[in-house]
Amino acid sequence: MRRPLFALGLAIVLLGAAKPDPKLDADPAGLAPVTVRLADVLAKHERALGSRAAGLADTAIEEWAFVLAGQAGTEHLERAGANYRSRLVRGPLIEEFGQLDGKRWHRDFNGITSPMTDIDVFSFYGSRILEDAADPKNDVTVVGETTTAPKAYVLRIAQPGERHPEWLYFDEATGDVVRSERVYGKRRAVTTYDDYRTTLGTRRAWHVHDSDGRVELDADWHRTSLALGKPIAAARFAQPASQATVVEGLVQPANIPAKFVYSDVIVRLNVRGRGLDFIVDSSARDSIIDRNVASDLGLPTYGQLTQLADGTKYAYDTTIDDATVGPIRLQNFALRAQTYNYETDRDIKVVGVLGFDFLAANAFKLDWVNGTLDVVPAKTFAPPDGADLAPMQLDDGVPLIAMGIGSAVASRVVLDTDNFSTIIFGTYIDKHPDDFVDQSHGRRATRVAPFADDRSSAFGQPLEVWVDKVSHLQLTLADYRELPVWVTNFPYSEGGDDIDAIVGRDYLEYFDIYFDYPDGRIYLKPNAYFFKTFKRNP
Amino acid sequence: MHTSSRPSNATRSALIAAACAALLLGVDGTVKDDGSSAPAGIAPTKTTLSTVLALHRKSIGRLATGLAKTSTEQWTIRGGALDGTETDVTSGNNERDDQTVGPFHSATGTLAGKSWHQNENGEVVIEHGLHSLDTSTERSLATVDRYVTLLGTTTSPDAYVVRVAPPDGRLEYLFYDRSGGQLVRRESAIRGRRHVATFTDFHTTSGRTQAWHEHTSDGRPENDRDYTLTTLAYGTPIDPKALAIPTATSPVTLASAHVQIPIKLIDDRVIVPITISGRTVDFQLDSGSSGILIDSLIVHALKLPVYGNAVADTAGSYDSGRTIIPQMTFGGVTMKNVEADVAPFTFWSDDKTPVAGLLGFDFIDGAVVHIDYQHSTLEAFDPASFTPPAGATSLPIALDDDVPLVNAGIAKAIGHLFIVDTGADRSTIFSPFAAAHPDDVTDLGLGDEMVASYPFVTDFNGVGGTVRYRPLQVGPFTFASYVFPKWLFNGTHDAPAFEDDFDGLVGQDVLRNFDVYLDYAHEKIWLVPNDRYRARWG
Repeated sequence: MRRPLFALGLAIVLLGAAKPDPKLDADPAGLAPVTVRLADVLAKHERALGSRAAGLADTAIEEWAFVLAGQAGTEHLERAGANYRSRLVRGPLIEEFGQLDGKRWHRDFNGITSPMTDIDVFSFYGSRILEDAADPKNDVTVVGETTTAPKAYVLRIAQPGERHPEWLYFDEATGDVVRSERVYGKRRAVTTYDDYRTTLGTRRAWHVHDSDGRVELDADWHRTSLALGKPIAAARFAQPASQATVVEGLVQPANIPAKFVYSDVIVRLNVRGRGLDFIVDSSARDSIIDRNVASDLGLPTYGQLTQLADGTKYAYDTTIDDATVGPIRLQNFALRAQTYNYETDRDIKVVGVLGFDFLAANAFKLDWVNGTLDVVPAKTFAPPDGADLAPMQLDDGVPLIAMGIGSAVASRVVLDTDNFSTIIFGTYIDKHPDDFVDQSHGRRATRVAPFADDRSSAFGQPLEVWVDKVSHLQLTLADYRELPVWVTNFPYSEGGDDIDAIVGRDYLEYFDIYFDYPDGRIYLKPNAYFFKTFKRNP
Repeated sequence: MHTSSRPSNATRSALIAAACAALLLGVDGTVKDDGSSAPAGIAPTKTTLSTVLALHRKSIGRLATGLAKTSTEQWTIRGGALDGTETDVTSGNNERDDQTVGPFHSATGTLAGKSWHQNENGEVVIEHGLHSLDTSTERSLATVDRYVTLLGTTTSPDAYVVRVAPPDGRLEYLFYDRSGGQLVRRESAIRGRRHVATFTDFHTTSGRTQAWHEHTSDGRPENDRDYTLTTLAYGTPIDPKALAIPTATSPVTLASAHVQIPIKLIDDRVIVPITISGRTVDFQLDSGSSGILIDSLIVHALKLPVYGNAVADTAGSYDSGRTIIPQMTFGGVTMKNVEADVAPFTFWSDDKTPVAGLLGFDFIDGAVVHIDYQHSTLEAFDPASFTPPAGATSLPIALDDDVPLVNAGIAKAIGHLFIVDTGADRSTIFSPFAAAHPDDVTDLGLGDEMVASYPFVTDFNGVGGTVRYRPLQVGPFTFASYVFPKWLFNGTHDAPAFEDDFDGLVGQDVLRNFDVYLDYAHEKIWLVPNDRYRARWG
């Protein structure tokens, strides 16, 4: 999680930036007036939809072929109710998603599987629910009909919470939705739906095409097969084990040469005769390489869009066929190519991040006192004496630990070796205000109260960070008392769920950290810094 | 008669804020004992149920002959950082209990077969006896029907354990002392938690034996209460005035018989800017809230007193207290010395509107409140001079829980406990109602299709946390005299603290099709269809 506060600030700026635009919100041009009743349009559409044949199980097995931003791929999707499993293939890049009883998981391009709370935006890309006009929460108006064949009634739909309307086109003859228009940013995005087929009572578009006017970004999805009602065992949707084949197995423990600069742990990635400085970041779900370096190395793009016609650069997925990091050999290691570089000092230019994928295949020991990073084969790793297990869950590769903050236990704390400062987020503070003592002589306490008048803080104002004293900060067995910590008014979430805090190097450096991701564990062992700084309770 | 450990209006009032839709607070992640499992350590017994219950009846004894059927009890109450007293008076089937806790006074009673309650703001409600959970359990035990079973014995306490589990009642485990037959412990499954009441210090007065000390707990120390009987007298004359239903008072004053209240209608949420101590706080008008709720940060910033502390459950668990707001003013409405609940509660209805309170029963009960969803206006009328608009449809309501309960129909099923809830974004069917009417509450297609195409959005926010749901299209849906062929509801599941024994919510998605007049004084809601209704369903 590199520079999280910067990311937060950006989000606030974006929230404050959007304003209604009359041109963008204008009804489509060239429509002819009509007198048809809204109720009649919706009734015809509802008849067209059909319904699942009686007695048919709510399951589907379907295949899709797609082109997304220039890259072709396929999807295999199995679903039973809200449980599903998908496999998306884009050349050599293969990933899977799944959900069983509300628990989601993701197996990434490197074959590493992790639980995931975030919404999976890929698996159901081709499936669309086009019922906004029927939703009684929305205000719907018939604005006209198209004048060219096939004729369609056009409905404008205003939805609660949306700044812009959308438009749905209903084929006058069939009742099918054949086109939608929505506003994204400064553009009107158009989606067309055709090749409607009825399968066992249910009518669906088998072809969906999205465009916002920039052809290189068009998305095109064709359903190639659909089987409804077939039995699928629930076990099919359960999270599978990792199948990491990209990190060659180690035989014995070894040291990885590393430099500890400020809060960064920097290692050398050797690839194609070049030595590249990467940081090891426990909070990074993806590994990253700077796009210019990727280009210099000739790393493949697999047909993905890398740059728009206007020069805007586009991040893409790539692979390194063979590289080493100390004793670790990486083969066909997938990572994200994007702009990413900075200099930690005159001698070190960081051009990438090794994240969850890198850490997931072996056990690692991070030793702040001696400035070392050791790797241990997963099969031979055993936690050392004196190490405490930190209650931990992975969220799509991000380690969330439980720690005591104030009088309660925060269960979603990001363990972030690459963030220097620990910080506690607004939603947690709001829930436990009595555990925090304002160190700004009371000024903060009034300012953060959500008054509606103009003297108060408001949504859209810049992120604010200040110092509070917290009664307890408990990390495994260590209990820091009455210590100042950074806190912020801003809520922060990962995967749609609130993050309580980030614990950074300022507290982590009192421990040797053992990452044992193959067994889903993290251990913390108090180190020399700890015993030099703190005393045991009598 | 003292009945404090039974579910009461005070208990329910926490639920109520229930209904308000938007709040971003986390969920208590701990595993809870929902009270359904049998107590541990029960050994089999050869004693029969009838023997145990006979022993219990004998333990209670009989009032000395010739005594009038009257009683007067004085109790002290301790716990929740707020102590108080209770005076209970009975005469025949009539009773009145007056409770004073800290600065707050409330009362409940039954007179001539009518149950009533008066809340801390002086408002009086005549109850309709719609809730059957408790009465059903009491009936089962009184008639010793097939839902009453003797499970065995425990050693601590040394007691027989009787299970009472009528399908339409609350599950209870009753512990009868093995030697004396007294009821010494009761465990009840209430809104997803095990509530335990222990009874000690038995005394016999005028031939009748009862516990003079009762301790209640739901497993959270903040909610523990101790009730101690200090005086008890049977057969003494009771002044009929002591049993009378108190005269209602209201904290609401209108500047004239009809006032216009400035609001912001944001996505059908009625947001009312209210001035408190010179500051403006946005409240949401929430008929689903049984009182006034204000955010704890606001209370802290305004230096309002906070009385007591407890952990309440609605959509999640949260710390709560109570305060007295000296004055609230908004658009010709003044509310003085308002008892209000205090809890962490803030959400942003849009990027300029921080909502930090709920404006519920105590305001709505003091006026006739007219919401014009189509023209974004809010009016309040003096109930004494209010005349319903011509052509309005009358919808009878019951205010047993200080929220408007109405009948609503789903297919052929009729629910008597639907809450008309201006705070709910969408109408909701609670899982017990769905489970009780499986043939009527069955998805008509759209709900399944929505899950099939986007199986992710499965919770909505309520006070203190989130509630899981799935979209559920059912019908016909009958509300007042209006019949909608299909309606898309949220169907909750696994949310006992949120649902209790209510059937569901009728939310803004329905109400926005009407001019709505909330006329609590006459136990009515008046509905006038607006243009939205006519365009879609008229």
